[in-house]
Amino acid sequence: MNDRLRMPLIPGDDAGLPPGAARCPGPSVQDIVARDAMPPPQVLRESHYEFLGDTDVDYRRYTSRERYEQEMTQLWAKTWQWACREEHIPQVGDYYVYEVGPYSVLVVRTEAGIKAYYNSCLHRGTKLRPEEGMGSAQELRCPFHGWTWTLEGALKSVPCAWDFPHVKPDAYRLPEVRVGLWGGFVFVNLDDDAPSLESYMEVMPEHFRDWDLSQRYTELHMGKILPCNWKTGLEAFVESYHVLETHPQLLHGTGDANVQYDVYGDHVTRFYAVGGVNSPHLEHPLSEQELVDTMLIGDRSVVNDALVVGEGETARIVMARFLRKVLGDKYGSDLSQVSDAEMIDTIEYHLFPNMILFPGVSLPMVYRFRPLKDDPERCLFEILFLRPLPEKGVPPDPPEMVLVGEEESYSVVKALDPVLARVYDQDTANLRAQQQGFRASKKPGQTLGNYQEVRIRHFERTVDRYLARGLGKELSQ
Amino acid sequence: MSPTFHPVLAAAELPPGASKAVQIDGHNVLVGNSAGEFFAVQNRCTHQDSPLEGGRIRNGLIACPLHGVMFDVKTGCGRGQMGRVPLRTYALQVVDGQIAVSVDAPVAA
Repeated sequence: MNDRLRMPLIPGDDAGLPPGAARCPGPSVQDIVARDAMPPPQVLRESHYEFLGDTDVDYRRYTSRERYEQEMTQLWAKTWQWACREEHIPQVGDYYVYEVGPYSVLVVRTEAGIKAYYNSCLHRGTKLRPEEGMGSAQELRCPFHGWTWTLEGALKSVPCAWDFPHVKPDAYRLPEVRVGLWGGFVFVNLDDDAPSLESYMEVMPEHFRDWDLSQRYTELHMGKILPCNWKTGLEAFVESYHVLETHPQLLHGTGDANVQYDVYGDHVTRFYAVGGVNSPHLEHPLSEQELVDTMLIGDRSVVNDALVVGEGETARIVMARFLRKVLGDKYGSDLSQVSDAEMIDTIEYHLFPNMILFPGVSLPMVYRFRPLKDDPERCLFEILFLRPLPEKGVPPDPPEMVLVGEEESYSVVKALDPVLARVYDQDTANLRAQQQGFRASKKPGQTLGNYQEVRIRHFERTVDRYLARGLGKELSQ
Repeated sequence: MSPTFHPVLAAAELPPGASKAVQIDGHNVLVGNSAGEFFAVQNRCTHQDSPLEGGRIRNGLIACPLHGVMFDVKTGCGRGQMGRVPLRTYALQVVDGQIAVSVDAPVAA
């Protein structure tokens, strides 16, 4: 395309820089946000990149059944995962069934707080609650023979108790799964020896200190089954390098190639993509006013014509001010102290293994990628929108998940902005081809960009570390 | 022939989330309030015949108190393996603050 900036198209030249040191030409995220009217919080003024190697990543980690089964026992049974939001189970007796691979966990609101149990009857194993998702009951009664437990997990009644003299109630309490609460999310961990949720989350509690996600409610919940490994799916959403080819319509108004990538510890990475600026790939950048006019961020349902860039202002400042007002009004929430960056930028954190969340206000998503039963080449991709809790009144009940068919467009979800539906369609349309391409390839692994795809490398390194604990050795790349 | 509506309750007696079983011509009917909308369905879970009265109502679904099977209160459709048989639904009117239910014409599920 002739309106793209001329950049070298042939790789292989290190330009005299050490690996991982090269960056896209043009202003950095930090250069851009330094001009904002309401500057971002300190956690967004820092960068934390580290070069993690440049060898290829083996495709078998996305296709191998053996590896998938190792992930089940070594990764999914050992890590903290969010099961539901607290608003999914607001009253005593409300429960949520969370499943991943073969595991099924029953999260219950009790008088004594939120508890979680292995979702399997202690009589003959039947799932106590057969269906995933939300429900409500005053006791946990197995549908097969009627063995019943209290919400607190004590054995309450067994039909024909005379036949079970060997069943001592103390030994037949429902086994508990560890629960951790953070930001309105209920996390579970099947490993009794795992570190606490707080220490597992590394820098996140500190980074989110002023982004209190417990003050949000679930407005929308969508799911789609993707014909790919759960890691294939997740890795399509942690880099912005694909925007140029996959979402060309977003180039006006997104700093796609100068996104900042940060890696922390074993479990946390993030990217920080500024909005309201030209892509560095555009040879003929738009004016600040044109940027405002074409901005694709934010909530299209509230965009109107009152968007004029004043003397000395940037598109970012105008757009942030505008959205502060309209989103504040729409959700009955005071956003007057929210920085420009938090209003309009795409700030995305990944918490290992499968949680991706956006603390920003105009794009308030949470993603989750889950392996499905025993198939390494299918996963469930969920998107939730978390809106600010209204200062007055009661938010609506959290919605049931809308399942978008595998061959369907996200545009079937009426509550979803059509602009975003198109983006998600474009994203998910690549994944079958990629998963099949893993198997079709002569080359045994994928090649990653040192900077823009570092979160994928970091993620796969942590997967390896979990699997290695089970095998007693590091798996090869 | 137009259906006969039987007055059963004052709307004010049924706040959101509440449900009450009523007998109409031999039909055991559950009248409930789902976030401000009234509904009438059979008061017998199609899974194992337990009464649905008092089940938690949320998101337009009522959960059977016995095993948690959920049904859409408008269409009667159940969720999951245990909810494959839908509930019968009944026509309902609110006239002058009175809820009235007809047991004549089954509403298509």
